[in-house]
Amino acid sequence: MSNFLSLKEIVKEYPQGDTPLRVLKGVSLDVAQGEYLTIVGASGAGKSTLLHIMGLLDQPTSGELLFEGRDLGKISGLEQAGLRNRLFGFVFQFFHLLPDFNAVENVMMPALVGQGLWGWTRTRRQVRQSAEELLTRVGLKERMKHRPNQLSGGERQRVALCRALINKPRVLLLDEPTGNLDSHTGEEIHELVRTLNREGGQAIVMVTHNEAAARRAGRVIRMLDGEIVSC
Amino acid sequence: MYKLMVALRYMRRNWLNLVGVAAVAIGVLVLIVVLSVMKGFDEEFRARVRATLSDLIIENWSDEPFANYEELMAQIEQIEHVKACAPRYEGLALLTLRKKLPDGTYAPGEQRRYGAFLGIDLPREVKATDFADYVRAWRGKAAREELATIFSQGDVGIAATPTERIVYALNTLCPEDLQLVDAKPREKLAAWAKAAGISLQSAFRTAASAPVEWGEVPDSKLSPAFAGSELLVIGQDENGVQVSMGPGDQVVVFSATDNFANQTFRRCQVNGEFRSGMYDYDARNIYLPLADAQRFMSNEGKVTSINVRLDSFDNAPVVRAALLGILTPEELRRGLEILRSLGGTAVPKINEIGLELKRLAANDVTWFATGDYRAIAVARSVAYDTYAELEKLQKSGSPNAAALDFQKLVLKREGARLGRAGKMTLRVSTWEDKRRPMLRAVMLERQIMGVILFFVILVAGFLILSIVHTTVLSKIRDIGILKSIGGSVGGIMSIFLLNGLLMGAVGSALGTLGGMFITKNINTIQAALEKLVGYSLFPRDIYYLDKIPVDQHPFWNTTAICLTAIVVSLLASAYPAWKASRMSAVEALRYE
Repeated sequence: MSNFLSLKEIVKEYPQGDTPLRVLKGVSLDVAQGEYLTIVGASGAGKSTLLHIMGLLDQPTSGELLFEGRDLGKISGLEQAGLRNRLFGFVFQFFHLLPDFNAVENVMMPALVGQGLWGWTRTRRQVRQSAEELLTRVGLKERMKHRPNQLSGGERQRVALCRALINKPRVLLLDEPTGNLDSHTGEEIHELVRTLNREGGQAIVMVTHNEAAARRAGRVIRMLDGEIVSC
Repeated sequence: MYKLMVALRYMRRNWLNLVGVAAVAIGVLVLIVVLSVMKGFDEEFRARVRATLSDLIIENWSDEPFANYEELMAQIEQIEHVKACAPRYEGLALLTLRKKLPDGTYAPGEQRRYGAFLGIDLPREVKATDFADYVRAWRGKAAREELATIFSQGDVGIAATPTERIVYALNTLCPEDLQLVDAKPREKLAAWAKAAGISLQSAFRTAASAPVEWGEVPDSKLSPAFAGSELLVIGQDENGVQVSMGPGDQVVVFSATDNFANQTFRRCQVNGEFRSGMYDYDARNIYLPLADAQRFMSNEGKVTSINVRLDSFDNAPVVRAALLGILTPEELRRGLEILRSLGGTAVPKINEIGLELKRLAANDVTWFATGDYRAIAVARSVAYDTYAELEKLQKSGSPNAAALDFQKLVLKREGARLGRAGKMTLRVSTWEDKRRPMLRAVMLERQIMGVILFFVILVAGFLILSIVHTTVLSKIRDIGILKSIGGSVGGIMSIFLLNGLLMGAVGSALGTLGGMFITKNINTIQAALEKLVGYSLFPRDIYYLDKIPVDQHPFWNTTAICLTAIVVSLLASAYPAWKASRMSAVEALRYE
């Protein structure tokens, strides 16, 4: 269990005057394969920072991040980029879609980023097909050619979810995915995530305020002031 | 590959990129057009500066005339790559212009000029130099009157076929005269040309290729001469009309030498005019037959220079070396082989000797003519003597001593030759050597222009820098997103480098197309502009050119300009691209 994804004594500090601001105070956490984990806690508890460190978007001040026994803090930037591309799928609170690309292109993007010059056109065709399948599955068949600013919040988050899934990641990281949506739409997204977890077998780590959603997850972790207070 | 896709999308969404493309295009266009036209002018200018100089010019160091030139020329013509030789007798002169009045006497107010007379051997001169291209022989008054009769009376004439008639007409009345006289002769010529099934232009060419002749003079006291076109201008009459010398008028050439006992003059009848486009030559030079020049300077059998034409100017260094050569390349090679066979410490000595020979060759002084100017023969015999001595030394053993002895021997021989030939030295220069200052000035001008115009591209580079910088600023969130889905530092950097590169490449391509279009059609464009603004933008009488010249082989220039533009664009986008790639993903995502 512990050799899938584990965090050991993760500390994150931000320089701030004489005494640095300690956001994470030595967090240790194991994520099992296929697990559905929810992290809850008040604003400023360090949930998002933990998620970012887990997904290689941010570097911890100290501590280790191990994936299948490999220390991910010690590999090169290029390799880290490759892991962000293939291993993790991110969904953010503010969707973070590329405004210059339409829905299907946004979904395709991670697969294209991972693709070199060789066999570009063929891969592109295949990727487009699977992106269209994903979008169809989340009920956006008619909205594929729309750009993010032409989509509603729920639609945008569904596109973002498809984008996170296009490379079939082993770990899906969701940072308050419903924080910016009304409760009805939020519920739809949570339902979708649960279905994906059941069918795809990906490990899911979700940061949320939504207690109702948290109750439905496999495991809930509470954070307070940079520390895990209950498992 | 996604980098290109993203870069293209960003460019399509931001019209500022068009500004960048336009800036590069304008820079490239201006550089191509200006440098092309300047190169065109340069080539014209080179031809003019060169005028009647051949590839190589042989003169006496002291500028004194030298004898036995026929023998010398025969030897020079033996050398590989040499096509033709022509002797010249040049000297400074005072020139007096005498215009003939209608009553047969000469105008009382004589015009005096200083200038140069050049005695030339016409049949050889036209083979060895471009003299024929610059000279226009007048066919005399009788011929003109005859032509006037032909024109006025129709096809009654001397020549049977229309082609013959055209050539005759063109040889008699020069092309420029045709434009000066009323339109009728030209129309008539055009009609004849049409009847003969040839174009008037090819008729002009045929006429131009007719051999140049000195023309006739009434008595042996007169020499036929071709005078520079500016030299012939006397001034203006009371009505402001330009008065020039014409057929039958005379120029008296007074020798300007320091030989006071021997001041002489020669009367010449102007039978044609010389026009190179270089004011200096056209205002000073008068050409007359070589024998006449030699006789009037009391220097029969001597010349001041020999013009040598080669199969190609590229071979000038080779022939020059052969002319200057103490040793021919073959002889030098043999000598070095022998020295090398001595082995050991002799080898460095070879280099010393080689350098010594090179130094002498470079000094121009090395072609030492003996009293009877059999320079090459003497040089060869010296070289062979040297080898004979060397071979003897080689047999006697002791390589080091032999090598040293050889060196001494070579230097001794050189010394002896210097002493023997002391005051009789000939100098071989290429035409470029002779016109070096002017050519340098022109080249420098073009280089400076290139540098100045490069700043246009540099400004375009600054524009690209700021455009890419604004793109980066407006896409900070995108950078975070791309990083979160696996975009690497290099990947992010490439997106913005590609942005600059594409602006540079597209701008260069458009600029090249535009530049090529303009250079190809520059004369049409100029004509259209002239019509529009109503005055002449390219006065032909100032430049002596019918049309704006352009670079005929612009490939390398264009390639260099485009590459520079692309490199500048790439460098300009490097800084913002680097900044973009260094952004932290989390901060970029948080950026509002």
